[in-house]
Amino acid sequence: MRKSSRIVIFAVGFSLLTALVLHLVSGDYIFIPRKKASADQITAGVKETDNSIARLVRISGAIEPGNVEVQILFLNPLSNLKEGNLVFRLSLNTLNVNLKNYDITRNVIFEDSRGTKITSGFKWKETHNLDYRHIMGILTVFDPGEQKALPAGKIKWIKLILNGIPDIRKREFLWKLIG
Amino acid sequence: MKKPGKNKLITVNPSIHTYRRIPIIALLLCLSLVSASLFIYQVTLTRVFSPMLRYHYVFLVTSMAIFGLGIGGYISYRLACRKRKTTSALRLPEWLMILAASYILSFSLIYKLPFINFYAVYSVIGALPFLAGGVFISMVFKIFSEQSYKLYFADLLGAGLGSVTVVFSLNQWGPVNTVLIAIGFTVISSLILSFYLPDKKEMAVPISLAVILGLAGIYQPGIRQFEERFTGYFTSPLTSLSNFRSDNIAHSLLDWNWDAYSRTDLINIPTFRQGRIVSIDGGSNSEMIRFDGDLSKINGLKRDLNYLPFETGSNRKTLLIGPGGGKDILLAILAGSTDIQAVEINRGSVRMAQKYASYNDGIYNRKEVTLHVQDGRNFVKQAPAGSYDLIYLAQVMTDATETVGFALAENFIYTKEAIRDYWKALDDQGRLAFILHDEKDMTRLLLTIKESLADMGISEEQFRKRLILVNRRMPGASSQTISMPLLMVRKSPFTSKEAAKLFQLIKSGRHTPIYIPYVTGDKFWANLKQFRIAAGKLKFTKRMNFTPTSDNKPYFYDFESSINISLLIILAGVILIALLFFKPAFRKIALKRSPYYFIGLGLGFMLIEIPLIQKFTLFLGHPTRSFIVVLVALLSGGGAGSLAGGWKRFNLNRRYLPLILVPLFAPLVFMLINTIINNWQITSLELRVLVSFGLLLPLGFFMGMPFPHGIKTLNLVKKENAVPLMWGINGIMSVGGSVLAVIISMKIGFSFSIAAGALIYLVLFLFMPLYEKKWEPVL
Repeated sequence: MRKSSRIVIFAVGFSLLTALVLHLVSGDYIFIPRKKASADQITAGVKETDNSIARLVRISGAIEPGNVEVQILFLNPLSNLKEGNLVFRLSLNTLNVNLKNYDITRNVIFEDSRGTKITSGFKWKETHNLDYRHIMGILTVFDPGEQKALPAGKIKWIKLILNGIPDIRKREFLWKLIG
Repeated sequence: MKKPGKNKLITVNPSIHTYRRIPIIALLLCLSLVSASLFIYQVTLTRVFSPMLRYHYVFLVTSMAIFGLGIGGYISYRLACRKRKTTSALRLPEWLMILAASYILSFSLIYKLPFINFYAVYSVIGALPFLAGGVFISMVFKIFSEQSYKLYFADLLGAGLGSVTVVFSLNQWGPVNTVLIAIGFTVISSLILSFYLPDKKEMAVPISLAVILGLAGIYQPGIRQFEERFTGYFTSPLTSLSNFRSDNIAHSLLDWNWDAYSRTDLINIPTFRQGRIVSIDGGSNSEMIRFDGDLSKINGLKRDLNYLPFETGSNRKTLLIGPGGGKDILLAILAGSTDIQAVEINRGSVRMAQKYASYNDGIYNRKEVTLHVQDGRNFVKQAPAGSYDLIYLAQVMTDATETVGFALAENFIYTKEAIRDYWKALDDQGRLAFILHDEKDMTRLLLTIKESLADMGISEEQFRKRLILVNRRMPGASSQTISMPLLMVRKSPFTSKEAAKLFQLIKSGRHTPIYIPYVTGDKFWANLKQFRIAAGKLKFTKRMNFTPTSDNKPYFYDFESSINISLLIILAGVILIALLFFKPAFRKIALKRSPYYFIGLGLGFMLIEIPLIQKFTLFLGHPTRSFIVVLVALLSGGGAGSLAGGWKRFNLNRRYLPLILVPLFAPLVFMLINTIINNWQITSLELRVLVSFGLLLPLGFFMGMPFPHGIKTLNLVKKENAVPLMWGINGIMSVGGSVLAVIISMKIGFSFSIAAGALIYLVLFLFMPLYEKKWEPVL
C-alpha cells in the first residue's frame, strides 16, 4: 500500500473516531441553579484542607439585593500570601445597569482589623465582560499591612467596601478569621 | 484550444501524467462538486458560529478560516517545488479524502468542544477543510491550466450550486445533514477521479466512507442527537443561556430549530410564569406568552410600557414588524386590532410559535392575523398609502450574522428612507412606535427620524409636537438609566390637551416620561444636541457615531466612529499572509507585475458583490433570498463568461476588454436597482427575481472572464507553477475585499464600495499588470 494511502486512511479514521468520541462525551443542555446564599451564610473562603491553617471566611456582604448582583471570592490561601497582595475575584451581574463607566479601583476601600485603610493603588484585571452588564475580574490589593502579609493570628478580619454601584451605593463584604 | 493529453508537462510531479486520463467533463464535474462543498461548509460554519460568538467575531473567525484556501494554494506551490517520493505524495483523489476527513474533524471540534475563549483556535480549526480544498483546486488549475476557462466555469458553477444547496439544506435538514452533504459531494468527486486512475484499489477508502456516512445519514435520530448536543454553544459565555446561568436563573432549553437565517431556541424559565423566551442566535430574545384564548387572563400585559402605543389611538389596522414569539400580536389583540399584519423575518420564530400553538393558542393562526415571513421594510414599501393606524416595531434587531457576516447583519428598517415609507403607509392619525434598547439606539433613531421628516418638510418644532418618549421603570434602576424606552411619532401633531392626557396615562402606568410635547422634556432637546442624555451617559460621543442612517449606509447598530477592530485584524492578516508567504515566492519565480492582477481581481470582485447582496435584500424581501439570487446570478453569469472569455476579440492592443466592461456595468446595475426600489412597486416575487437576474447576469458574465484569462496567460508563457500562487493570492484578497467592502459600506456607503471595485477593474484595464514586460515576445 502506498504511503499516501495510509495517510488518507489514518486521516479518515482519526476524524471519524474523534467525531464519535466527542459526541459520546457531549451531553444535553442542563442547568442546575446554585443554592442562593443568604447574607449571613458563609459563602466564600479558602480551599485549604489543612486544619492547622487559619482561614478568612466571609461572613457578611449581601449578594442579591439591588439591581446589580455583586459576588466576591477571596482567593488567597493564607499559606500562599506573598508580598502582601490580597487577591479577590469580583463578579458583577445586572440586567439593566450599564457598568461601562464604573471604575472599580476608584470605588473600592480595603480595611482590616489592624486599622489599615487602603483607598487607592488597586489593580483590576477584567477577565470577562459581556455588554458591561456581566463583568468578572481580579482585584488585587497591595501591601495591606506592615508585615506585607497576613499571618494567622495577627489579623482578625478584613473588609472590602464597594461604593457607587447604583441602587445600593455602599456594599460591605467582611471576612473573619476562624480556625 | 489544445486537447488534454497533448501538452508538454513541465511540472516535477510525475504522477501528473496519469491525470490526463481523466475526461475533462468528469474533471469539471468534480471541481464543481468540490467548489460547492467548500461553499456549503463556509456558510454552515458561519451559521454554527453565529449563536456562539458575537456577530463581528463570526465574520472575523470565518474570514480567517477562508484564508485556508489561499494558503492551500501556497502549500500546493511548495509541494510542487519539492522533489518527493512518489509513494508519499498525495494524489488528487487522496486530497479529496483529506478534505472529507477535515470536514468531519473541523465540524466536530467546533460543534462539540466546550467554548474556547481564544478565537484564533476556531479560525485554525475552521481553516482545515479550506487548506485541503485550496490545495486540490489550485493543483487542478495548475495541471490543467490550458483549460482555465472551463475550470473557472466549473468552479463558479459549483459555488452557485453550493449557495442554493446550503440554504435549502439548512432550512430543511439542519447543519449536521448539510455538512454530510458537503462531505458527500467530496467523496463522490474522489470516487470519480479514482475511477479514471490506474490503481482502482484507491476507491476502497471513499467507498467505505460513503457507506459509513450514508448509514449515519439514514439514521436521522442519531443525527438529531448529534445536533442537539451543541457543546460549543451551550458553554459559550456570550449567549442568553449564559446570562441566565450567571444570574443563577433556573431555566431549561425546551426546543430548538435551525434554518439558513438563524438558530432559534425556546427557553423555559419556571419563575417567568407568563410565558417562554424565544431566542434567536442565542442573543435576540422575544416572549411567547402563555395564552388559552381568554383575554381576561392576560390583562396584566396592559401595564407593560410596550402596550402604551396601543392606548394612544385607533388600532383597527396594525402592522407589527418582528413579532417574534408573538407577544406583540397579543398586545394588538388586547387593544382590539381586527386586522393585524405580522411581518417576521425569522422563519424559525414563526415555526416555533406554530409548533407550540397549544401553548400560545396558535397566535399566528388567529383570524385577525396575516403572517408574512419577509423583511419588514420590503413589506412596508409594497403597502398602499394610508394603510395603517399603527406601525409597531419592538426591539427589532437580530444578532443573526447571516451568511456573509456584517454584510447581512444589519437591516433597512431604521433608515431615513424607511421612516419615509412608514410615514406614507400610516393614515392621517397613524402612529409609528419603536421599543428600543437604550440611550444609544434611541438617540440615533431620533436623529434619523428628525432628518427624514425634515426632508419631507416637517420642521424640528413640528416634529417635537408629534413625538413622545417614555422610559421604562426597571426595578432598582436609577432614574437616569434609559432602559428599553418607547419612541412614538404620530403623523398629526398632538394637541396640548392630548399631551396632558397622555402624560397622566404614562404617570398612572408608572412609566417615566422623557419627552411629552407641551408638558415635559424641554431640557431633553438641549441635552440631545450635546449627546448628554441620561446624565452624561453618552459622554464619549466623540468616539461614537450617531449620524442618521440611510439605505446607502444602513448600519444602524454601528455606533463606533472608528473602524471595527475585528475588521482591521482581518485586513492585517491579509497583508501579513501576502507579505510572509506569497511575496518571497513571487520573487523566487521572478513575477513582479502579474500578482497585482490577481490581487486586484480578488479585491474588486468582492467590493462589488457584497454591497449588491445587501442592496438586493431590500428589493427581494429577505436576506437569504438575496444571498441566493445575487450569488447564483453573478456566479452562473461568471461561469458563462468564463467559457466565453477566450474569445480573441476581447484582446485589444494588449488590453483585455471585459476589464473595462465591469466598471461600466457595476455602477449601472447599482443605479438601476436603486431606481427600481425607489420608484417602482413590483409585487410579484417571481418578477423581482427575474429582474434581479436580468440585471446581474450581464455583470457576472464580464466579471467571470478576467481570472481564467490570467491563468491562461500564465499557461501560454509556461508559468504553470505560478498558478497555485495566483489562485491563492486571489483567494486571500477576496477575503480582504469583503472586509474592505464592509468597512467602506459602513463608513461611507454601498455606492462607494461599488465605485472602489469598479475603479480597481478600471486600473487593471489601463495598466494591465498581468503581462510582465519580458513576456512580450511570447504574447
